Amino acid sequence: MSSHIISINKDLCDFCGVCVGVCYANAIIMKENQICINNENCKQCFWCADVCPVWAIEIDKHAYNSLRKESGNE
Amino acid sequence: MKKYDIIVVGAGPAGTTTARKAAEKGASVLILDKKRDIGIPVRCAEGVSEQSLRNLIDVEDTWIAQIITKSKFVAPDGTEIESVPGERGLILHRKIFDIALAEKAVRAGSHIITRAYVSGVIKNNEQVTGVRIEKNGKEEEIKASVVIGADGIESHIGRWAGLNVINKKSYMLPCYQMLLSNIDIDPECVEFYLGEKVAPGGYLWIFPKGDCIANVGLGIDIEKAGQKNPFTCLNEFIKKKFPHSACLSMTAGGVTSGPSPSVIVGNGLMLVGDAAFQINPLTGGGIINSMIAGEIAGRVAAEAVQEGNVSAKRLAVYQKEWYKKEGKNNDRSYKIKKVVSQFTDADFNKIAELLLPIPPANRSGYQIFKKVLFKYPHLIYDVAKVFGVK
Repeated sequence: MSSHIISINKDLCDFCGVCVGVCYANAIIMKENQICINNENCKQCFWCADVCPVWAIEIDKHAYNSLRKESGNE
Repeated sequence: MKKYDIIVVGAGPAGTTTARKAAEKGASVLILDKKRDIGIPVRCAEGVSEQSLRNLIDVEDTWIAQIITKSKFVAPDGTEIESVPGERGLILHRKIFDIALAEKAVRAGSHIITRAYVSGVIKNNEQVTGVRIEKNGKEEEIKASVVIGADGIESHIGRWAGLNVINKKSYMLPCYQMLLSNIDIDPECVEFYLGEKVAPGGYLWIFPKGDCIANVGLGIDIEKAGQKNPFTCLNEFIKKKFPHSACLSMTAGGVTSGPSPSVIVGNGLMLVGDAAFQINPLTGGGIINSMIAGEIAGRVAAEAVQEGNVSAKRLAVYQKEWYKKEGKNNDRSYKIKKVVSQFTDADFNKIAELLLPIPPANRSGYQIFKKVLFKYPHLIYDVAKVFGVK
């Protein structure tokens, strides 16, 4: 089970594919007019958020911090 | 199940050029594109060297938005360096150009299916043997002896086949561009603005498409951009420089700028164009390189299929030929780009000062970059090679 850490703001996304290009986890699927992040494949590197030309990729900091705490406790 | 000699994924200039050449050599070719319309949208400044394009294809007037005879570099302190280099550029209407290239591929014998999303490659052990597509909500498998990934900077064909061709974050420059109308420009002059404020680690371009209309865009290095993204940088520039402009189109995008990947072929697999990191690392231009690579790829793929040998080793002939023809120049351009992208505003201002005494007609690309790299004399050889100087 993984929490919803990264999401794409569809109002800002231009479907340029730059995020897809840098995602080495193959966690972003982009078809002609749809895009979504597979949070289970995602490795939380946040490269996608860094390269997005319009900052359409949002990181849920609470969810990320929870995930890090969970892994720390394993 | 459908089978072709060659499947080309992506109907941009790389894909359609590859397909056309392969079909001309007698291969059965299928082009697939996920988009509804070929050529729309493209994330591209649409500028090419006229001679480079004419070397590749018979150019039709309908493709040309504007002929360019001058260029202008603008330093951070506002110093303008105009040059009239004698070679012309063209700003294209990509939506017309891409359709024309696709038409030529079809007339050579290629089949084409648009609105077909390639969701994976089919492999038999380590051999790529086809693709899986989604079309109208249905999944379908199509077989091929060679699958060619011409699927742009978002490319997955190579990765799905097991090649290590991820675009690293440090090699990706995010970009934003607007088609601006109602602007006061010299329609025959392309402009390049440099500086930490206007385009940190990259440059801003104005590529006219008519008397009062131009592609205005920029690419930046995210390490240097701080709290800005290309969209905010561009808006700041336009507010100051073109306050009465009207935006008729806007697109986000990215260009790769890095060293050549070590492998762009596999068993039954080739990558061409932006998908193969073939964009020029210094200029960000990809159209010409995509077509140069596509010609080689199409020929090699067709010959390999006809010989019955589509192993990585056989297909690697394409990579070697590409590297010799243009790939090596890309690596030289990357060496230059690494240096230039570190320049401060003071560096750019100093270079402009050094260039001012040179008459505009003598300000060729080579002369300009000799001054640009005046502190790096060891790069003079690379500059000479990149600009074709003997």
